[in-house]
Amino acid sequence: MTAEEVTSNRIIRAIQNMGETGATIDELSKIVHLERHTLSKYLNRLRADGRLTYKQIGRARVWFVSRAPLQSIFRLSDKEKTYTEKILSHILSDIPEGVLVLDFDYTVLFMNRYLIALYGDCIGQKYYHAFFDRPREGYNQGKIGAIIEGKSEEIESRAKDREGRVLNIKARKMRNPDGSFSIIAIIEDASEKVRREERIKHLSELHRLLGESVNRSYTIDQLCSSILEDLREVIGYDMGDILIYNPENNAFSGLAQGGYPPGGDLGNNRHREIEEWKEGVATAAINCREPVFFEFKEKWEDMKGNELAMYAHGLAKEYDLEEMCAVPLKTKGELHGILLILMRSGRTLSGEDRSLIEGVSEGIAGGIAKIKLEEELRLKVNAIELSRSPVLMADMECKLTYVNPAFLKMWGYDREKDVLGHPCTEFWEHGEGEEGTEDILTAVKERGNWEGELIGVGKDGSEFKAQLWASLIIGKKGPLQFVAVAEPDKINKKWEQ
Amino acid sequence: MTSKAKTVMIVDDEPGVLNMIARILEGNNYRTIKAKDGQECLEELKEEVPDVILLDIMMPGLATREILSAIEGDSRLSEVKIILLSAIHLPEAEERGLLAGKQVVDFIEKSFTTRRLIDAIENCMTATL
Repeated sequence: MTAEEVTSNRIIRAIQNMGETGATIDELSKIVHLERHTLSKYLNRLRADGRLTYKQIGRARVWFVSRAPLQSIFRLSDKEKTYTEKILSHILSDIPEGVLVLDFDYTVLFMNRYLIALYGDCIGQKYYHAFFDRPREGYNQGKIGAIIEGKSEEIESRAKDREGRVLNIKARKMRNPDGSFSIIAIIEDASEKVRREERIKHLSELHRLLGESVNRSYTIDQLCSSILEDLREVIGYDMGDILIYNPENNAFSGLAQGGYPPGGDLGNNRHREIEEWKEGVATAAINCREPVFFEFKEKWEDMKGNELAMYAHGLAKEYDLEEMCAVPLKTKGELHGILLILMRSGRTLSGEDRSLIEGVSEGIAGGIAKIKLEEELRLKVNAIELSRSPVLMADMECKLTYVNPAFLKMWGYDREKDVLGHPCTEFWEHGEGEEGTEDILTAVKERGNWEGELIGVGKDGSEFKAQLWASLIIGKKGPLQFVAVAEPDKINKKWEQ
Repeated sequence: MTSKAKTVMIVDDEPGVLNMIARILEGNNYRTIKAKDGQECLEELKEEVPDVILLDIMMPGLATREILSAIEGDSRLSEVKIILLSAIHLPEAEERGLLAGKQVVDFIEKSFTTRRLIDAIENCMTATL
């Protein structure tokens, strides 16, 4: 230890020994046996270090050992502050995070502007009372107790304050010049951040569930029921419907619903009326071109005379609703349906829930579009399967990728797998002077189409003449498949010849 | 005496599509002009006026609307018919206002059969604007 430090410690001990009254420079001079000007130099240096503080009484300064250096800094006027103290006090005041200093008994010694704006001036109050409105410290109030009880030197935690704000708290133990300790905490109001995190988590979860539902569902009603269940799990709405839009007749039909009370005692007419209200809401909501949220109690007066409100009001009375939202389910340019969410009296959707519903609506619409397309394709495949005309498809290497039952029957095969993957050349021969299968495929590539007679070769080696129309399918990147249809009447005629 | 072959300009950024369509149309006795994007299409149109333009609507560079506006704004091209080729669905194209142009006579969604393509071009040749 240097001589300077030894002297500094002697001065601090002398002030401590004077107790609560503090010490003037004359009193100290007598105890530590230093010239007044030397002592003054030491006192000012120790104050600049934050280890000592003073009170100006008349022309005299009464010196004390600092218990909370930060607190001292803020008590001093700008004139009395050193350059470093001025800089530090500006930083601490203006920093966009909370700075809090507590003593070893949870008493607030210092809080900066950020925290004062949130909680008011709580200096001198107990931390757990001022921030958490609790009569005593608990482990869930930021875990600062762990430092006070000597279990940790520093902590990082997250806690909800008395207003429901989520606080990120980072605190550490600091030894004071008088040997006691304080706690310095950096506190951030993370409520918005947490809400955002929650929203992203919920949105990701909904998209994951939506993806699973789309993969699992075979029909639109299965998909819609599954989506409503998923939404209920995440948002916790009371009642919900998905109404599918039919562009043919410009109308909606309810395909799935969830959360409604059993409707056994509702007559058919009443049931029909309720469905009409929902369809009315859906139709009117489309005209608004964006999600519509109704809060019945507050806005009913404004909504009178409005068609949408009339239907909505019918539903509100029937189910004692507080709130309702109708969200169009659209993919780019195409309306697929409406998602209707009803909340009973006393229950509302939070802003996050609303934004979540809007965020996932295009995903739901995309899922519906996909299943709708698959359903349409299945229907079309049924038509091809039913056709009496043999139909085949082949890849660009001329290997069969699809044949319909009429093809199998005509060529004498029982199962698709006996022919798929085989080259087309196995199933045709060309007569003298006629184009062969390979020539035909080249011709299709050259002209886009080919039409003519070929000799088919059945499984048993039998031969028959057939009239064939072949074309090419072009996809996003280029040619995809050959497709060909044989004409049964022509086949039969040639067969008879 | 044979009449002069009709000319089709094909505009598509996918070489596989561009070349295959050109080959098929030439096999059906059409003359073709190929352009790989909107800019090239407008450059080619300065040199020659085709009967029909087959225009892909999802290409990098100039937006389809810009290409359509440039064509509509050029009196030399007022008789040119346009068929839109697209990987997007018809409702989206409608929403984007792409079908509103008076020279747009047809819309072919990818994937399509060459039969559909040839029929569309044949219809186009006989249609009046």
